[in-house]
Amino acid sequence: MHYIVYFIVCLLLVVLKTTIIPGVLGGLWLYDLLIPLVIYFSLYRSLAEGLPVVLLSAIMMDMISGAPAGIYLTTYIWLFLGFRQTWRFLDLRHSYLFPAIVVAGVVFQQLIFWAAASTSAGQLVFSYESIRIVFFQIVWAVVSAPLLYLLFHKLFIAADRLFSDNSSENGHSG
Amino acid sequence: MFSKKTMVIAGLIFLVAANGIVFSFNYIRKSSVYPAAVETVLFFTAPVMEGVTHTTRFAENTWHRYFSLATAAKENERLGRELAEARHQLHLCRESRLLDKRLEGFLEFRETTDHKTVLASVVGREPSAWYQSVIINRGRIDGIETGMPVMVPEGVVGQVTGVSRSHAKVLLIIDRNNAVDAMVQRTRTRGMVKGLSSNVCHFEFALHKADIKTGDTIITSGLDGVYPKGLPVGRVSRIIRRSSGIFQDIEITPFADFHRLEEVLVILDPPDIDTNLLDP
Repeated sequence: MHYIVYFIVCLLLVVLKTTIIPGVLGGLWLYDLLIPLVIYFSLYRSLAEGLPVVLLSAIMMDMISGAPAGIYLTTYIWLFLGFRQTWRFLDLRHSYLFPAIVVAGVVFQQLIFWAAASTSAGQLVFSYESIRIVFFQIVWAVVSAPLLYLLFHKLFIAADRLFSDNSSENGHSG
Repeated sequence: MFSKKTMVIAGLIFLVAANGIVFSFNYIRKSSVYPAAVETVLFFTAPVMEGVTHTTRFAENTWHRYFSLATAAKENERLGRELAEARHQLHLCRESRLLDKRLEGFLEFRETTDHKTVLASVVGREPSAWYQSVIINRGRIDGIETGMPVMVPEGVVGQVTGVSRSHAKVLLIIDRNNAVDAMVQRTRTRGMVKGLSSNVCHFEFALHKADIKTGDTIITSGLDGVYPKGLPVGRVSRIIRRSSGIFQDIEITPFADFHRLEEVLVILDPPDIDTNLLDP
């Protein structure tokens, strides 16, 4: 049942990023909203829970995007496993660090995309427009990451309680 | 006790006496005593009457206003609802008019082209800022296949790179992974339109000696097997002729407004599609 909640959250974030926000805010460059989700699963959820969610999100984004296939898969897997390994020796699991980690994730994704764009163009792609985009994305990440953290935290804990209560009730009745 | 005659006489006397009294009062009214009496009476009674009248009127007005206010509040609420409804209808009318205007352009284009086309709405946009694609609400069941060209009446939009049963992904010509075989309409100089993932494209491989001017229209050449020949692509907005190199550095501004894409036409019978040529 948890995975249904995770899937719905993924879908909502994708729709928010691809349909609602471009329609409402027009040309404002919002960062990839699935990055906070991937990082949240990396830091606060088990591998068994996180990996399917990350794979599903990545495949969904790769299929929707016009970017080279597999670029989101690469980004999300690296982010997921990278932060998962990092918090074992650096204490990253504090809510106040979450925005900074999301910013690091956004910068990492932009570097991957920049490398892919440069590779396909056959030369280093550089423009002030891309710098501006990255700057806006970082600002948006700093502003929205705490809200997304709270949303994920409350929602997934509520889902945990709901499904654990149901399973214990079913256990008693069985 | 009294005879009838006596009663009649007494009555007449009473009437005469009463008449005399009335006449005497009228006489008094003309005398100097009467105004003083009136003044005295009015002095004491009129303020009370005035006060009572004001109070009554105040009470009446308050009561009336209360009801008027209550009625006005209800009226206001009703008018507010009607205004909101009217605004909504106006908004729908405006949207409908704009849609009509856009569709008129599409219809005109369909009438002038021999190609079979299908109209689609843009339902989603590229999630990354580095690439340029859109999702449209037509798919395999509408006859759409990978590689089909997509356009608006103003010009070329891109090509289909992925299809599901009812939706398709369109890679825009401004994406750096897209290219269109094109030529200058005026001089027929051939080149390749390549996206820059911004609002402009490059017109590449135009020789240094080729006669190209700012404002020239770029059209599809039809030689790439994707886009039919003669579709408008964009206008030359900047030319940089470097002293070295054999090609000119030409920037073109596409005719299609990619920030305002709402409906597009997919050409269902393009010249010849070789899907092996498409990027995976």
